[in-house]
Amino acid sequence: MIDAAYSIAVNTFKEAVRDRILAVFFVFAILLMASSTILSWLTVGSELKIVTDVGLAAEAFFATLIAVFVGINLVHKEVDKRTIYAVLAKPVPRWLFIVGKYLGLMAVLLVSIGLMSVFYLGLVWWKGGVLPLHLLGALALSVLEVSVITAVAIVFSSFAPPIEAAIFTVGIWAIGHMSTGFASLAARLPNAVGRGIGLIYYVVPDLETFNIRAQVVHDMPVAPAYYLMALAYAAAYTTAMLALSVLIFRRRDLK
Amino acid sequence: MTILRFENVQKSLPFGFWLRKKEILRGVSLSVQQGEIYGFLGPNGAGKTTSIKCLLGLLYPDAGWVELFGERGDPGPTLAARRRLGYLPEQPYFYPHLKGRELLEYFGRLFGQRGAPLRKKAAELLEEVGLAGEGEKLLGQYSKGMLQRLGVAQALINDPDLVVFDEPMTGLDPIGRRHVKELIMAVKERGATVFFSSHILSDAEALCDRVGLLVGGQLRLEATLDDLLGERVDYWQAACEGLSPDALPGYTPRATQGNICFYHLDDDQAVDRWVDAVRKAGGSIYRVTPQRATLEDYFVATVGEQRSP
Repeated sequence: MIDAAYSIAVNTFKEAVRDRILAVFFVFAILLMASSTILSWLTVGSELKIVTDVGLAAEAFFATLIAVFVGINLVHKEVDKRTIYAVLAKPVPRWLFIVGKYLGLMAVLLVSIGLMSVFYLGLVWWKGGVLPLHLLGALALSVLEVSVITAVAIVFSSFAPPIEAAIFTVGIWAIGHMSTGFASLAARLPNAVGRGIGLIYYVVPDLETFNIRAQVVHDMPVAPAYYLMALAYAAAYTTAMLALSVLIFRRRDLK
Repeated sequence: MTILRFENVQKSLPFGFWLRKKEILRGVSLSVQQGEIYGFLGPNGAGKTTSIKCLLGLLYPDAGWVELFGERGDPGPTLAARRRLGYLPEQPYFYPHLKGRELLEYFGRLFGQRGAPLRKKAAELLEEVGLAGEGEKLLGQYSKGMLQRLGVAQALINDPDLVVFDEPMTGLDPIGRRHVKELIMAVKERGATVFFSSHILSDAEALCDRVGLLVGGQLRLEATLDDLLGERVDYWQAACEGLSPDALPGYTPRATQGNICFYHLDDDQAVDRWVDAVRKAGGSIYRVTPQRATLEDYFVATVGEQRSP
């Protein structure tokens, strides 16, 4: 079983890294980070803050872009191209297929974030001569965020074509970054409407949990317990999303 | 011993914008015995691929069941049954980003194989299907025939007891078809049972021990080729030379070629009478050959009967 999941993950990884689109995203991410040094010339005394902020945002944005673009195709492409037939005719339960695909994409994201981080941290070191420890914490949280986004993308990919899946996933990502706003809005609205909007807060992931950019840029401390809480939240949400994907995909007819 | 059994399998699938259900399989029942080559025949759209997908657990029957190696899964085949199964999909689409060798090793690992024995097995299979020098090429660079042969190789990576080929000869040139035919015969010689779907009847006639004919989602017949076509002679084709077309009273030639006249005769008594008449008229016998019904004749008669109102 572990062998099979590992093989599916490795195949997913190979497929993504041999695709030109990943290289394109990567180049754009590097260019955006590099451009932050030009922006920093415009601000006297805040160069390091600009490089830190733009770099972190660029890294989170491109990691999310990769998670969405590869994630929405993850299951659908296999069904559409009929490559899945030969795989599922072998002793591979459908849940294992989903888990393998997810792990493969997470490996792609880890390598992408790792490579972008090397460039980004180099840039910060060059500009400031120091590497704040909580910068690594912020990067770790962006890994957690894409793990949740990838799991959401795979849910949609397990039943919807890529365009719909992309719209749904990007929608969840956007709402996820505003979900605390939904909670306060729900508190101010009448009962029924408020409950409805409050439901969004509980169903959609609270992606702002994984954003500590402001703290990092302004050098504010982040408690270790916060990281643990974020890790537990990401693990629980990801597990729930993968379980939902499996539930949808388990009885699906592959026409 | 029965290896594969369909019992009253029914399946409808949604089509079009409104996802209206269309009945594809209307109670298919069949059985495949160990060691035989079973030809699953039928015109396009008869439900052959849908049946195969029900067998593999890619589609789940609405009613009825499929039993593989004596086991019924819930609802697809059990993992134990799938370990003993090989499958070549119709028009195999494999990952274009992988190399031929990588694909075989990937599929081998799904069966729990690994390391040097897997690499050796993949190399042997590539050689067996005539792709020994092509293992390091990306599949995006493979021709259709090469993909088909690689498809056969991946179907054999686990030394299966039953191999399912879905339309293995479709779209191949004559050389490719012959090669795949030889590979199917080689699979049987390994001791495996073969279940293959096709609408190319000459291939089925050359390969199969038994056939099932699916028309409109229903199995119209299931029989051995001997039972179906037997030794029965449909008619005799006879030819004589040295006589004019009107030299034999009571016989009208079907065709003439130079001084050779061709006749169709109903049975062997008619052949005796015709031979006497030729000799009496001073001609000589050029050829007398029995004409047997082909699977295609049977297919056209059965399918045509089903399609006519």
